[in-house]
Amino acid sequence: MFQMSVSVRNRLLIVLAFVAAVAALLTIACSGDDPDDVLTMSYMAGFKAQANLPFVAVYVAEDQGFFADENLEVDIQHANFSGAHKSLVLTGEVDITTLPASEMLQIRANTGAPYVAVMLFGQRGDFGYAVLKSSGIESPADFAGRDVGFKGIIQAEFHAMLSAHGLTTEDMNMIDVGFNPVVLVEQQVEVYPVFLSNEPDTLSRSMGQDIAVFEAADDGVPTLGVVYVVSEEFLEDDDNIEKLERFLRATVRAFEFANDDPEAAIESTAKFLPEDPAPDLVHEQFILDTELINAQNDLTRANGVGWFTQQQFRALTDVLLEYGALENDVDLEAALHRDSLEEVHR
Amino acid sequence: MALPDLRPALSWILPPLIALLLFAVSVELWVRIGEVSIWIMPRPTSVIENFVSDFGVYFREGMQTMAISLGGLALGSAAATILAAGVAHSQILERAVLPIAIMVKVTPVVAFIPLFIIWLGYGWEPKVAIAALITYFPVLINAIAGFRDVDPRMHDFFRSVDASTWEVFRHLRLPAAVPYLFASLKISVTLSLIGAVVAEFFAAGQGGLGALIWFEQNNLRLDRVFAAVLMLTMIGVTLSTAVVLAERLFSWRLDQPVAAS
Repeated sequence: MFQMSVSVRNRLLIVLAFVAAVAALLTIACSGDDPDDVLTMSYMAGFKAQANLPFVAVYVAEDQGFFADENLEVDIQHANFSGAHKSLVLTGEVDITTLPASEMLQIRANTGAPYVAVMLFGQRGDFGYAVLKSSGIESPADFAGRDVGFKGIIQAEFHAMLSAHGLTTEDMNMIDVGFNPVVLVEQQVEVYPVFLSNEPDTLSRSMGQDIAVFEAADDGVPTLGVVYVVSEEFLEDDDNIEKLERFLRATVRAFEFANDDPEAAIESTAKFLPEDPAPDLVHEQFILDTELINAQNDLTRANGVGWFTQQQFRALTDVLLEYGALENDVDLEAALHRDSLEEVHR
Repeated sequence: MALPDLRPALSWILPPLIALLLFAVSVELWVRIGEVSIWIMPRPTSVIENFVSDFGVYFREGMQTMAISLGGLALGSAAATILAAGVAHSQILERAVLPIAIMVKVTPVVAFIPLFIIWLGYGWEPKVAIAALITYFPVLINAIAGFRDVDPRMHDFFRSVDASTWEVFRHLRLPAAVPYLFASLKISVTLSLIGAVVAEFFAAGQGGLGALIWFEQNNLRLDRVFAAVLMLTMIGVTLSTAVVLAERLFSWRLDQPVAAS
């Protein structure tokens, strides 16, 4: 059998140790952990360009150079009306997108889609129920016997809100009204479901209506708004964790910038809005102001913007389960990832 | 007793079935070998599995869509045929009506669906109206051509026997128009299905295959989306076949040649 002399073996060990050291140095140099490395990331807003806070945070971070400060290049895209963001974040063609928390939970529970929420904007839901003040409706308890609109699906939070007033949808005439607030103005329905940051302004400022808006959260129903979402697969890669932390650091900074100076945030946002037709910046400001209010509460003031807890999502999941929006329970350990946000706020 | 000759029927049924089967197998292989994400393309096997297990749901929603579609087809075709009968008799009416008909044809009807809902209410009416608007134009144009495509010698004969306008219409123009009407119905019957489905997208809470597709697409249940499309395809094939059979029946009764389509 071949016998290696001691000196040859020592020399071989030295060479191996040298090669290992060089390899280790190269690995460190090439890894994404070096903050000087420019990383790239793709973001797709879940709708058309407008001043929703999760979109504004990205526009401001780009326009004010917060992404650049993080050595992060972000490819900003919009799903517009296609809904493509829901699939593309799962196929890996988009790294991060936006989804309402209830929709994320619903798709995850009903199809197994491996969505993971990494930052929560809306500390309360985006939906409200508008009535004309002249209708005499002073609380959801007065919905009984009325014509009440819904948009495609009667939301679980609506059932829960009615339940808080001892009502069910059987007590009223539910009508699928689509997405046209004119039906409230024309009094074809007496209650119209609205996106809080958008349609109340359209109804009151553009259409000159005196309205009141009821929210399920005011009746103690747990509701949540829009989250930033990635896929489980995305989080399996350490380089992606680094990207995500840079992205969240920049967008948290942009959130704080928008909160301190909403007008400047709208100026940044305007650069991303379509020029034709000319955007209604007063309306955009309304959207942003509403969402800034709804994105902050005691929890975020104590822990930092975008914060969320598993208890919040548990409460929402329970409501969705109770009213049949979820076919299965959701594994919230897997559906929520707060480590990166914690790192940002540390 | 001799068995009936099934070859003619098989020659109708087998080619499309084989083509569909080959297409489904190709997609299945593409999805499996190419490891295509289920979030952008479901496997045909899972679509069929879902279609079979929830057939009752797809059938129920499909019948609702078919009712809307047939309502729109009947309304659009009847209105277009009556208008065409008038236009065939009067060039002034033709000049007055055709520009409006073309204007309605080129209008993106989809953009007006929310308005139709406001005008006509939240029931089946706006959906039938949309399906009718999408289907009327091919019938109108073909019917005008058909009503005018009469043999001049026959027309002269009817005049020589002092036939009334109604008699000329009933016994000369209408039979002449039948092949044209059926040719247009073959186009319109599938258009009416598209109209019904699109209208159902906008009134998703009221059911129908369009609503089901909208809802399942939002939930990323693509196997169910494609299963609904499969039911839609079956309805489309059934209705198209029914038009062809009706054409043969009418052609036989009126002793008219079947128009090439």
